[in-house]
Amino acid sequence: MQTVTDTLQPEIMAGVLTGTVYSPLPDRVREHQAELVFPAFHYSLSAPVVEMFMVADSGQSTVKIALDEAVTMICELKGKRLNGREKMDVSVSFENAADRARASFVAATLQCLLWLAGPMKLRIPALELDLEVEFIAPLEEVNQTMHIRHVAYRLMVIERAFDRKLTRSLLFFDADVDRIAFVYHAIVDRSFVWPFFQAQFPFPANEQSLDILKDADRPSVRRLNVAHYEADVLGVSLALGRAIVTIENGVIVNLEEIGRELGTLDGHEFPALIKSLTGAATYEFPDAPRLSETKWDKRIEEFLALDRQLDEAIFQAANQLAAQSLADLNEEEKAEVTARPQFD
Amino acid sequence: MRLALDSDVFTDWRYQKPHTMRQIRDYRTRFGRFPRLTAMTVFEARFGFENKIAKSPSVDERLERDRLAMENLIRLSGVLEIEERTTAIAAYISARLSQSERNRLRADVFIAATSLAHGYGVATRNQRDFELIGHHLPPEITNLSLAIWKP
Repeated sequence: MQTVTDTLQPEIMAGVLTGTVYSPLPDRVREHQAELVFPAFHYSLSAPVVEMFMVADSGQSTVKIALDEAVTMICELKGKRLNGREKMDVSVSFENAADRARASFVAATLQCLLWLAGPMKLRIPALELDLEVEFIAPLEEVNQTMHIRHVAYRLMVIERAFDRKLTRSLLFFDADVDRIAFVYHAIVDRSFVWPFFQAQFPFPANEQSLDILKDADRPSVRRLNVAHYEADVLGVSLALGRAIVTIENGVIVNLEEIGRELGTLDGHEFPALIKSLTGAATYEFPDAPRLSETKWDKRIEEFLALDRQLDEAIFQAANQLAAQSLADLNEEEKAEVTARPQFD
Repeated sequence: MRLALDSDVFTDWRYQKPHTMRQIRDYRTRFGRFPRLTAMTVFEARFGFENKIAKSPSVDERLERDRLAMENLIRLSGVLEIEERTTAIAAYISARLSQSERNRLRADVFIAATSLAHGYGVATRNQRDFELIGHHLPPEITNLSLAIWKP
C-alpha cells in the first residue's frame, strides 16, 4: 500500500475574536496592502490586495491577497452589523496558479501559521479593516500540511540546485517523498546514511574487479564506486554524478555467477548483486550539484526562519494529546490502561 | 528510515518519558511528520481503555476524555494497516519461532510485519525481541530496521 500525501485543504474557517469592518466597502479595490500579524510568533507580513468585492446587502465580501507570484489568499468575510459592530466569520482558501514547489511551500506555510500561531490579526488599513481571528483545524490536517511544506521545500532546493522545474502535481506517494529526500540529502549533506537492502552494481571482467571476491564468503565492508548515479524525482531523471556507496555488513548474493563472469577477464560488464545485512549504506556524492549560496528572496527566507516555531508548535500540540491520554488517571489506572493484552 | 512506533514506545510517549519525547521531536523535524502507528499498536492502546471501560459500572468521564485525546493522537500519527502482505510476513516469522516465543511475541510479530510490509522500521525499546523477530524474515526481506529508543 502506498500512502498519499494529499494536496492542501481547500478552505479553513475561523471565528473572528474582535474586529470591525466599515460598510459599504468599495466594489473593487486594488493596490492596497494587507497586513497579517502573528503576535505569538513575533512575525508579520504585508502583501498587496489584488481584488476585493462585496455582494450588495448580503454582508459577504471577498478579499484576495497576493502572497506570492502564484499564490493568492482568498478571505471570505461573512457577517452582519449588530449594534454598530460587525459580527463576522472568516474563511480562508488559497489559489495556487502554478503546481510548483514554491507555490505549495508558500501556501502551506501560511496555512500552518494560521493554524499554529494562535490568534492573528488581519488588517487592511486603507479599508479600515482590522480583525483578530483564530483558526482551528483538526491536528491531522495541520500535520499533513506541515508535511507538504517540508517536502515542497526540499523540492525547491532540488529545483534550484539543478536549475530545473520539476513539479506538475504535488500529490505525493511515500516513494516520491523518499526519492525527494534522497536527492535533497545528496545536494545538502553530500554524505548520508540511507536504507539499503540489495542492489546490482556493474563491474568489468578484468583484474581490478577481482577485489570483489575478497572475503566474498562473509559479511564485510563493501565500498563501491558508481561512475554516474542518476535518481528519478517525479518522473525526471537527475544526474548526481559520481557516488561512493559504502555497505557495512555487505554480502555478495550471486557469487557463483560473478566467479564465472570474472573468469573470462575479457572486460565485458556483469552485474554483482550485493545486499546489506544491516539494511543501510553510506552514500557520498562529491560531485552532486550544490545549492547556490545566494539567499532565497525575502518571503522565502522569512518563511524558512519560522521552521523552529512551527515545528515546536505542532510537536507541543501532539505532545499535549499524548499527555492528556493519561492525564486524568491515577498511577494504578494508568498501568491498567497501558498494559498489553494477555491472551493466554 | 521511516519509523512506526512499537506499543512500548507509544506508551512511553503517553507517560511523557523525556527520551521518547526528544526522539519524537527530532524525528518529526527530520521527516516533517510524526512516526506512524501500526494497527496492532493501536489495537493494544485501545484495548487498555476498552478493558477498563468494560469493567466500569458507569460511564467514567475521565476515561472518555483521555480516550478521546488518544484517538486524536492516533489520527494525527496515522495508522499502518494490516494487509495481505502483512499476514504473509507475520505467518513466515511466526512459523519459525518456538511455541513460547510465538505466544510471547504475537503482537510484536504483527508490529514488525506491518512495518515491513509498508517499508517502515520499528522504534522500540525492546531490542532483544525485535532482533529475534528480525532473524526470521522471509528471504525477500533482508532486514528489519530498528531504532532503539531507550533512556
